[in-house]
Amino acid sequence: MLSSYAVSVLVTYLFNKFGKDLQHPLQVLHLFLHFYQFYPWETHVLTLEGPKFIQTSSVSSSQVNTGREYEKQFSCDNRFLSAQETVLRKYSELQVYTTFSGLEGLMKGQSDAKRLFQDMLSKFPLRACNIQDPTDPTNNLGYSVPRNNLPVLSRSMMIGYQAMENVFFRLHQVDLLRQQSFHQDRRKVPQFTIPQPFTNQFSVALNGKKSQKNQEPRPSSVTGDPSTCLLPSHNNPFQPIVPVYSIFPSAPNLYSNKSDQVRETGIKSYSRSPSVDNDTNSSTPPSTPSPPLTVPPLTVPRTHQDSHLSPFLFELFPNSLRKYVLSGNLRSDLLDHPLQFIQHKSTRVSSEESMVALEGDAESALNDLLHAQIQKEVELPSTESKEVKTVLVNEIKASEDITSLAPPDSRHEVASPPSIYPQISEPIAIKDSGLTSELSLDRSGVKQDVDIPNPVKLKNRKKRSSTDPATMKNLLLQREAQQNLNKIKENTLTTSRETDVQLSSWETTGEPLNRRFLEELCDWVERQLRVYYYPLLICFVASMIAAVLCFSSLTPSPHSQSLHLLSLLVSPPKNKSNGQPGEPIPQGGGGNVLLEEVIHSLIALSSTSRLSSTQASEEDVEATRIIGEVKPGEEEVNEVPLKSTETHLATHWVQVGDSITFGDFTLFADYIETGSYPISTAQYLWTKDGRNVSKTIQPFFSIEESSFVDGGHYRCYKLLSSHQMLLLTESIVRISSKFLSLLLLTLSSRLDDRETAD
Amino acid sequence: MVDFQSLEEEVSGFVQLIQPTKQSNDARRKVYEYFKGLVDQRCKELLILPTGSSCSRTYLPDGDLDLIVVSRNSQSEEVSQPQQQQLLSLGRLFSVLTEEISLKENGIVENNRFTIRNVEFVNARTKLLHCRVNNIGVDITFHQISGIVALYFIEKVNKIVGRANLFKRSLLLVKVSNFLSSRRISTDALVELVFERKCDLWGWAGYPWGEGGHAFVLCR
Repeated sequence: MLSSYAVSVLVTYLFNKFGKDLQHPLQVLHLFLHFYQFYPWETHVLTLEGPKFIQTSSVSSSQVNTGREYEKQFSCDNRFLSAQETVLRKYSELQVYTTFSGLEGLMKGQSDAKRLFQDMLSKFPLRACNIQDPTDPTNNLGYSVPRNNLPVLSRSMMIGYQAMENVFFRLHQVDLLRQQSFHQDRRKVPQFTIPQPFTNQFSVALNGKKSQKNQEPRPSSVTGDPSTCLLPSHNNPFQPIVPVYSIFPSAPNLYSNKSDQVRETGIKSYSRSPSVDNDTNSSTPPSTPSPPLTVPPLTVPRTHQDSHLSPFLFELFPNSLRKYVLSGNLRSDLLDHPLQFIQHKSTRVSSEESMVALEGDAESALNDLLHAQIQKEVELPSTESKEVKTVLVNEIKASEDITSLAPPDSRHEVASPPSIYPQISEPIAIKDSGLTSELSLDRSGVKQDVDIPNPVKLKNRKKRSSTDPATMKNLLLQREAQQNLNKIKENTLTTSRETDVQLSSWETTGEPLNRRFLEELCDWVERQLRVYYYPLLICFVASMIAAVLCFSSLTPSPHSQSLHLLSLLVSPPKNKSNGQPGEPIPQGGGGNVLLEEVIHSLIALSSTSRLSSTQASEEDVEATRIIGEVKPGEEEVNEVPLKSTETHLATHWVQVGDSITFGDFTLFADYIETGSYPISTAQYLWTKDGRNVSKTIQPFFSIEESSFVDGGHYRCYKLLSSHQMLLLTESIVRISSKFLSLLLLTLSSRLDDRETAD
Repeated sequence: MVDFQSLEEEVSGFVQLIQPTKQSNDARRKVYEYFKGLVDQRCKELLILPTGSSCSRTYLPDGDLDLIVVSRNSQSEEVSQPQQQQLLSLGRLFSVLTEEISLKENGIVENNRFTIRNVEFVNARTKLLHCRVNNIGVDITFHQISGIVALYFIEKVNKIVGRANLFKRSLLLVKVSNFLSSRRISTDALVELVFERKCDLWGWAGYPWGEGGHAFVLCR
């Protein structure tokens, strides 16, 4: 769509207009998306001094007025005028080479860049998308954008903007949760309703002449459509701490924290200009205007070891980042294999180096060009004075000395492509054997799942004492099924222990599943889980993933993949023996116990959903069994029936032996609560130490109304849920969907590999 | 208060992740030097110069290396008949590249670390020569001086804005978020569609990616 130079011009305008408040690339991106999603491309030419309205015959008078208003609102002084003038000077030096349109004016001695650019606007070639080149006034940078693509453009920006707002909103929610756990007062938590995204907060912020004391937001006609202005009402419980990432009214206030002390330090970190340093009066109010543009660079990005790829970024860049990370071609020009990036990661992040890496050499290229021209002129007899030329040549030589290219270092040589994957034969064989064994195991597991006896009869377990041959047969079948399940579980456990081997095989074969992504993801999941309720979430994640996998028709044998990924998820990271001091140790003693739990619940839930999906053929299936681990010598078995009001879900029976350590009794109750989301009431019958502690649970979710009037659109559901639960489920959806994407990508790449091999 | 600072740190880390490194700069510079050597040896009337985002260091990891070719001689004719000169010079360069490939394949030139692939002539509004050298895409145009000047302008703007190359860093971020969303969406579209269906199935509200899936349906 837009060329990269056009985008840089768009960004330049933003810096021109709002530059004083911009401190961070994220702010720029936010501003970019918000400003240009409503930009009237067809009626306004974007110049560095703001959008210029173009009056054509097809424009009505009312549109003229709004267009003029828009122009007036966003016009600004050109702070890059000096740059433009130097550019024009370069043009006059290079005049032999160019067909620059403003050259005539330049030759006439009109060196005022502002006048020149304004005058040439009348000759501007109008297209659907109009962007004036700041170095050439009659060059339309939006030349190649057809009219049809403009809505697509603004729509993609809108989506990006919404994603960003969602991230901010979630940050806000996390903050709320933190406050809630801090106060230990759950009654104050507002009843959560599905939030409207903060649309057009920005229009308030863009409203230029704001009074900072008057905090009341005013609607504005910036976007031309006042109906899209959804301002938060005062009844909104989030109103006092609305997380608007608006850089506008006062940028430093963004970082104002609860305590004034933190706020002051936050401001200091952003506004340590020399003038402030000289000013001994440190008690400047926090609402001081943001520092002038001549502030020395302070926001040198701090390097974070874990936070290179966080899920927030996944949402900000839903397509691009996933493309980069999952397809594994990050820095494909540099690295023979994405894995090498891990080694580079530790070394490369010094900020000075990054500064050096961003130094451009446009100037040297220009000087080369000038040099060539001057040399030629020196060769030829010329009439101009030679002094200027010698000075110029000297300058150029000096600059060449500075920007002289370093001699090629043999260590940093670009490796030749044939040597990229040297040992490719052996690990593939290993991987294939492992894969096939997994798959075969799964097929057997699936069959045995189907062979599970009819659970209706198992429901009547008390009648089993009678020596009925049918019930005996049932018992035998049940034993068999349990043994099979145990076998599956053992196998999956062993495969999970072999993840190291598999990962190393991934390393050497260059499987497109990016190892770095996995590491990051595991790290992130761990961090997230420590923030929330660790084991509770693990159980729920497992059930979610299992359910999603079983429902997706894309995976014929979901078990191996999901279990494999889950083992990656749950098993503790290998080389992190020196644990971080500040973080709490998760319950349940670490990864392995939880891994078992996850596999239990996974097997259970996958079997139930499998049976429920085959319910159409077997009508008498009313209940399915969730089978936990029962050791052979044990007799006491607890049953937990979960009555479902959904017709397509059968009543679940959870059978739990005492040997399973769910960590805590309440943990298991929580597990049932969270796992029974489509179930409106859950009952569990439980005996503990001989006492009956049966209970009816009101789960977190209850679906009060669900209408399919709108074609099954999900917003038609009315969910009553606690605030906490919404947070949990959101993170779960994110995790599971990410796993699903991983899964799909691996599967598709494998399919591709097979096709190419064929 | 909402923790924007950690988010910004994450984004900074991300920008550091995608921004050019010393190695990638070196790789591109070597390719440029290789081309320069070729042009200086075989067709001395041409001058080859770097432009584009690879020159201003705002290229994405899969960004192309942009080069322009300027003729040293007969500048007045160039201006008067740009099209002919353009085609002639690019054709000259094309033959140089194919020659180089044949030399390498026949083993006449040894110790050549550069592999040229997929040389093609693109017949667009501005004619250009495209090839891949060591997995780096190279675009060669003829006589686009304004490109260099524009880059010069960007450098100046970056210097004026300052703040640790804030302009360039933001440019990288904006580019990532905008450009790549319009490219190569087949796998992503699949994934998004699946997500969207699953979410509908489960009835989740407040789905983080919004209507991305629908957008992809439209795109396809």
